[in-house]
Amino acid sequence: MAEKRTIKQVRAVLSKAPSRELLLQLNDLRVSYGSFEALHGYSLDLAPGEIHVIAGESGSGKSTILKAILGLTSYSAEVTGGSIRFAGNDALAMSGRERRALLGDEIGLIAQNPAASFNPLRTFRAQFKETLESHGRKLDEHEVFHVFRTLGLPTDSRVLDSCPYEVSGGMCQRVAIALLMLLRPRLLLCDEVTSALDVTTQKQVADELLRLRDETGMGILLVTHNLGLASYLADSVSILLNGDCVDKGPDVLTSPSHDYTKKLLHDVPDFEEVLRDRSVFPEDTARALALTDVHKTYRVRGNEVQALKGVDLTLYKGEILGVVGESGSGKSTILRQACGMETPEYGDVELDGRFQYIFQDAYASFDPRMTIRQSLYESIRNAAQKRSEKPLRGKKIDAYDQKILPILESVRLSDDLLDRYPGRLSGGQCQRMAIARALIADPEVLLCDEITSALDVTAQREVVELLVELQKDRDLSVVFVSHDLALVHSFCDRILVLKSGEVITCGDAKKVIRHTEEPYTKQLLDSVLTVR
Amino acid sequence: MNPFRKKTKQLTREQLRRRMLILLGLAGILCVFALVAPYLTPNDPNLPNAAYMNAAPCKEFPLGADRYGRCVLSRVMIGARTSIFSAVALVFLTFVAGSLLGMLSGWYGGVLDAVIMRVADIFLAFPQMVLAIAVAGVLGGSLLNAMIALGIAGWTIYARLARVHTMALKNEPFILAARMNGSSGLSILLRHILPNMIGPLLVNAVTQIGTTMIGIAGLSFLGLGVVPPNAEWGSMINEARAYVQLAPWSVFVPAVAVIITVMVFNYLGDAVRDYSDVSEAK
Repeated sequence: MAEKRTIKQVRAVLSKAPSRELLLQLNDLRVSYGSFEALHGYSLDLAPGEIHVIAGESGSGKSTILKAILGLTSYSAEVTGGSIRFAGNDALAMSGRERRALLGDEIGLIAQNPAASFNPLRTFRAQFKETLESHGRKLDEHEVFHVFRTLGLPTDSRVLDSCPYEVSGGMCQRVAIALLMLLRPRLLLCDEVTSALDVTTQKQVADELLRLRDETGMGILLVTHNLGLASYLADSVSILLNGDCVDKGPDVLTSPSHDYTKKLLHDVPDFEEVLRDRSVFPEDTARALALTDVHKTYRVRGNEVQALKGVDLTLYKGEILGVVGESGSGKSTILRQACGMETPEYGDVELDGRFQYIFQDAYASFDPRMTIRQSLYESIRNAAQKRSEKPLRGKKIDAYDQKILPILESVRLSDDLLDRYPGRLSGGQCQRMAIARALIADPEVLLCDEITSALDVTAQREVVELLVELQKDRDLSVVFVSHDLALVHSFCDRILVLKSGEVITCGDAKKVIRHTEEPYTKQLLDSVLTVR
Repeated sequence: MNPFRKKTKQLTREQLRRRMLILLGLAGILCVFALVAPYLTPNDPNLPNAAYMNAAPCKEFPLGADRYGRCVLSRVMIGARTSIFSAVALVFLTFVAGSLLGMLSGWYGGVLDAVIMRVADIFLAFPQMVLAIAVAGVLGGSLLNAMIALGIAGWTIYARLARVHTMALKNEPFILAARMNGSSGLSILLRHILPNMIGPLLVNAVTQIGTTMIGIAGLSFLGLGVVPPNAEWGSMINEARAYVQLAPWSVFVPAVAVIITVMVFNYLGDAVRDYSDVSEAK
């Protein structure tokens, strides 16, 4: 792990450098999309070797700042006020050609989705060559492998001669960082670089960024909604809310001044907080779901991928079971076998009682061409048909509202959201609507597939609190799949840790988190970046 | 792409909508005209008149007469009904049948999918017009046979398109959610899958109208479509082409009618597609 240096230490190292002027100065920057102003005056001074983190929920204008610095007018964003100075030069006064010349040599960007920032059909070698040549440099394999080594990438041609789709997301992100290390820009912009990554790779990437800063003294401007990452990396932090900077400075995360920052910090799950009393279930408790020695293999373009290698899982009635693991460990595959969406090739699945499945992407789980009301009506109609009742049609359909309203109340949503289309709800509202739809079928078992991972911390907390409450009121049994150990620890009775299709450990949540001896679980726990 | 270059000005959504509506209006006018044409013809379209054989445009025959002395204007007007409605009807039928087969094929997969798609492949293996000529030749010349000949391969494009869309939508979370919820296969197909793919299918259908019209006119030109003395633009061109030097109007008038109508329907198809593209992108 790279040792985190203080900004003072780094500046001391950099004092040898000839230029000590500010790298980037934003002064009262305003950006609009058409008539909508997304950013209402943001100011920032970034020195070489400084890491500044911009945090805030989605839609708060974080990425807009990066777009303005890059000068990407194709996003239909327009700088309507303020100034951008790069190393003392007014960027807004430059011509398009001059600004473009800055990109790569002076300003680098690591995008949110590493796979999307490379051409999927060309090898990394070809793309490295192209990028380096456009900056008047030659591809030197020696140099590339040196950079690869510091990033923990294999130092033979294996990765260099692969196409982006052949390597994992984490590896792709590290290759993107490698390219930037070769280019050595003075200012590095990172847009949600870790949100597509697992906790373990997240930590690796964060360490690489720290090392890159320490070695080259570049300034880093990092946009994220992950406050744990922010506190791990940042010398100073800005908190954005609806285009306004509400809190800024080096101590924002340790001593927040604004109420919004306090709320954000409060909503971040940590290992201290427990949202619900855990219960212990004796071996002979009735089971809601049992998987015994389940195997599943997928065939992808001729290759066999063993997704599950003999998984045993028990869910007792009235229990919340957390399933954690990295992406590709088989978490979602378990749920798909459990609900019968897929059948395992070996092993038994027993699911007792009515169940419902809640999806990661709440928006995609609603038909985009139906209003929420229409989608909910459909669920009621299906439930009625199951009880062999005649479904209502035409005007009588209003009677269904009597069933929807109490359920909406229990998920704490107002009924004027009903006539909206799913895209017009916020992420948290949409996920709670999905839970409401699940409740219509009066389920006994809920299968939750990463249901909070697309939400910001505030919405995540709402959804989890709701789930805890519903579990208590309706005596539900819940399987909660997640990659967030702290979150799972805060409300699950038991935790099951999964690694490449095998159960690593399973047991009482407290025991697994606090007293584990198992190395993989320890590694996962060590990788969690918490707000300090 | 240079990120600093301002985008070339594109039509706004409203302008695209207006363009689509104007073309829809033009197509509507053509259809209405075809409907009421029999009541507006200045002369009996099938009545020969020996005194006016290959007559140039005059007061009585505003666009001249053909080699039997029949009024070209009246025949083009009557022919509009055959040409436009047979094309629209054929596209509609192949669209419905093809989409239905494609949806079933994409949804249920397995043997059904294999059978439907292999049959479609067989039809696609032949050039459509060659296949149509062969079929029409076997069945004999009539408008219905020409339509069968074109339709026998025409459904395959819709089937393939519907199948691909169904297969893509099938694994969307909202379809899985509906399945988990207990919706039947049929209700998912009609309630969720069809509304979510009808746009691109419809666009494809509209662009096919012009092509189909040329196909029917082509078969009639070869004598495999409408039987004389009934008027159809393709068969009119065929009948008159030997006299093109004597009476060019009897070739050019139906030809211009084909060009205008095909253009209107093709532009309509493009306009609908452009408009639905921006609507999708919001």
